[in-house]
Amino acid sequence: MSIELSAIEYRYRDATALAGIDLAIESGELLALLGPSGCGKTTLLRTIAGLEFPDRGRVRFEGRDVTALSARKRHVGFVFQHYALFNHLTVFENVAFGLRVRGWFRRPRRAELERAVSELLELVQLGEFARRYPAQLSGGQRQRVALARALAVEPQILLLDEPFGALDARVRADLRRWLRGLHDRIHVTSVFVTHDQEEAFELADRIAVMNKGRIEQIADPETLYTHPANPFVCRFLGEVNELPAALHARWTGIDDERVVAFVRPHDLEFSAGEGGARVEQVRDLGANMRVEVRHPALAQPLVAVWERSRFARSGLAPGRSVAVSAQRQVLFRGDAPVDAAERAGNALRDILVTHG
Amino acid sequence: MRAKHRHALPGFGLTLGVCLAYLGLIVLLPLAALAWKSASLGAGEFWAIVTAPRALAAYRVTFGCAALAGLVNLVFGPLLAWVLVRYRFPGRTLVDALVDLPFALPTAVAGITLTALYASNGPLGRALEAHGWKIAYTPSGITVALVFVSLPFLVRSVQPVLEHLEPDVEEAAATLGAGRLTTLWRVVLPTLWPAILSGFALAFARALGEYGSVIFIAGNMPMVSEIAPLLITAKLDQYDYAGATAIALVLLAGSFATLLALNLLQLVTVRRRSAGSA
Amino acid sequence: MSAPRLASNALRDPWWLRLPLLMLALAFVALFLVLPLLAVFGYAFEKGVDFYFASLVDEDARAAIRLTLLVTAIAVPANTLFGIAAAWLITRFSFPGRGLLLSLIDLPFAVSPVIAGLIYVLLFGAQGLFAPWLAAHDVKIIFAVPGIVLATIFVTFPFVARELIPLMQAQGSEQEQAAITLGAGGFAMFWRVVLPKIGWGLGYGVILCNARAIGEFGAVSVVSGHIRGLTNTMPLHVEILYNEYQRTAAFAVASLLALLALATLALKQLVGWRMRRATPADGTHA
Repeated sequence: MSIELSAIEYRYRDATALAGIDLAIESGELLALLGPSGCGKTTLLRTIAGLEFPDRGRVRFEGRDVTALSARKRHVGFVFQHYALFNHLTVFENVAFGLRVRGWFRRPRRAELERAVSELLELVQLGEFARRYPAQLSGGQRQRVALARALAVEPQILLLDEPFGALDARVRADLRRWLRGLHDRIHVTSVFVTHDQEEAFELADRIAVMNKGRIEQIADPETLYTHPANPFVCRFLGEVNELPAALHARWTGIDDERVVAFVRPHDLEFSAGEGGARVEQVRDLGANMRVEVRHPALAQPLVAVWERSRFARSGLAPGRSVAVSAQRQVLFRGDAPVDAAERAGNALRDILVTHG
Repeated sequence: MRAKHRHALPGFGLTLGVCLAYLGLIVLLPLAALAWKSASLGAGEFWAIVTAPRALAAYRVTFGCAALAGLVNLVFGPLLAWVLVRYRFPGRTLVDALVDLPFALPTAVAGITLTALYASNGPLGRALEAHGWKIAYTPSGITVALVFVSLPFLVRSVQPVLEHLEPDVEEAAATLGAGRLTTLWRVVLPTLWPAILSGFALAFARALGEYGSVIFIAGNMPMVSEIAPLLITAKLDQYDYAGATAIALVLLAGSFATLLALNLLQLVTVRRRSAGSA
Repeated sequence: MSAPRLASNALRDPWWLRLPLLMLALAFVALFLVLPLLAVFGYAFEKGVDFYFASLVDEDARAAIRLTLLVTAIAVPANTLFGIAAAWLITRFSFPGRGLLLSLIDLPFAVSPVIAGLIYVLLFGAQGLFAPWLAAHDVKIIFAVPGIVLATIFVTFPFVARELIPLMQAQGSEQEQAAITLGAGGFAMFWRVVLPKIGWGLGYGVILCNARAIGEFGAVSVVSGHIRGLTNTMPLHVEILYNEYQRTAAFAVASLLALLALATLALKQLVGWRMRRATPADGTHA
């Protein structure tokens, strides 16, 4: 089932939580809402579920306007951040809840209900835990119960709020892969909220990056990473070095110095030689080495993260003078990216231009 | 602030309706009657009633005994809380449960029991009168009854604060060379003050209005041992509704002022605490 | 309550402080709590067991017990329903006037029981606001059972709400939201999710409300008129017997009320213990 949001606005007290959201989610897609805390991503998810009602704008499922419909009637599966399991019910009864509260005629027979719940418990690999209570489960198991409970009502849409936020790192990684596999099997339209870009990249077909109640960019992970729409998106997707640069227009000979080059740590190159920069610190991260270089024109040190072998080949050590260059960079002029055509017509002159 | 028109959870209209109807019937309507009755009194008449010598004496007894009882509990309430939280002794759970006895025991029962104990022919009364201290049928008796009634307020305000007191502060004081008494006085007691004061205010407000446990032991001599709530019933017995209403307003004002002061105090404490942690 | 770490030497009072404080506290408890409690039963049985039971089966005593049970049977369920509704309203929705509603719920704690009685006399009494209408329709509220019920409801309505509001605030509403997204209607959500969640806290509030409703004296005294066999509740019956110098009979009836108080304390302890045990298992806020 597809979801279309148009011009959604939501104010809470005097703060704007959502400032005009337009978003179309295709049927069967797995979409991530990614952003810092307080960006409105959870409010947006709850608006889709009918747990919040927007001040303006419309929510449509498969073209049908559901804006005024209560959560009860929207028929979406919702997995809460802290699971919201019913502590007084067993795992089995938690999963059966949505079937038991159905109207008289739609309520399944007992045998049917037991079969449906058992199947779901097998699907989330919790078959032998049916008689346990939520308090007797680990965090990852609770998460899977919450998922099974949401799926029991056979929703066309599955919404997950920070699904892995409360889990420790190893369980989180396992569960992530398992969830991706599950989605590939059942193909229900899914939206999940996260503040962790790694999680969004690993799991999602497309990612909507949110900031201050707006969607900054929506794209597949590859596009997002290689062509971020603005500096915010670029910064949010991971550590990045910001270097002043200049675009040299070949046929006028004028330098445009309002350009900033964003370079990821693994794209940064330091070569031994006089470049005005000096290696300040080298840290061993295990698989990688982190090199910090101080350039007199920059307030922040430049950071490169290289594989061990590459670092070993470079022969760098603290105190060495180096020249700085980049293998790959994204250019922004103010908030706007410098597009490929302009880039092709001009030369990126010195990536490190001393201002003043 | 604008109310949201839609709520995700059901029952807003139903529960709002129930609450408004219930409170309207049980609280607002009768209070309106109180306002209506007092408005029917002229200002001069009102003043004459509430400043009559018998009324003034009743306030003195009520407020004085309530304050005195509060002061007694100011010492014993926190002491009891400290002993219950920090010491382990046989019967601790029992004592802890018994602290709520004044809440649970009907006030009339407390009243006749204290009277029987403290009257001249009662075991405690006889012993104390041998030393020239008459308790029953004097303001001392009223104070005893109010001590009983208001004890739980102080214990139960201080107890949770003590339970959640971080031990590291006391440990730090000890490592800095403070003696145990110094630590209690300079470190523990200051953190308890807000709770002690709020317990005191609740106890005081309750004691101002207390009736059942007091009237048996008070003797109810006008000008000497008559409390304000009793004066109200005395006026009601004479069908002096206006007089009863006027005294009731003064008593209400006393209780509200106490609770208002408590709220202000809590506001100040919360501010100071949050400013300190920022 | 969870005991703080007592192992640390720095937290332990030396014996010369410990012993006097403990003795002082226990002496106070003995004098002000234990002695009165024992005295109730001592005086009740001072003329023997036969007299004791004779006092309880006395016709006026039985009428007083019946009336008290009737009043409680109306006031407690009514206040329970109100308490649940008020707690739901206050903890689950934000709306203008919410703070005012909270203060109104606390109001009876600040009002003397005598004043609680007085306000109903002013409303429904012989010179009251509604007196002409009541006389015309031959309805009697003051010096009759309805007045006693109203005064009892007024004095006891905060107990359930006051117990539930902080509990439901702390529990949050995620489970209810989950129930709604799973298709539960309001009724199903209430029975299957809300009630099991608040059960122990609700029980706690009902116990307190019940104890106060049975024992209420001041407010009921003002509106009752003390008509024997008709408008006398148990506490009022105790008062009358005591004032008529039937001390032993008064204490016999009082001992029933004291037993109720003890049962209340025991139940409170039990429910409090169950609540504390239930809280850590609450996975949603772990």
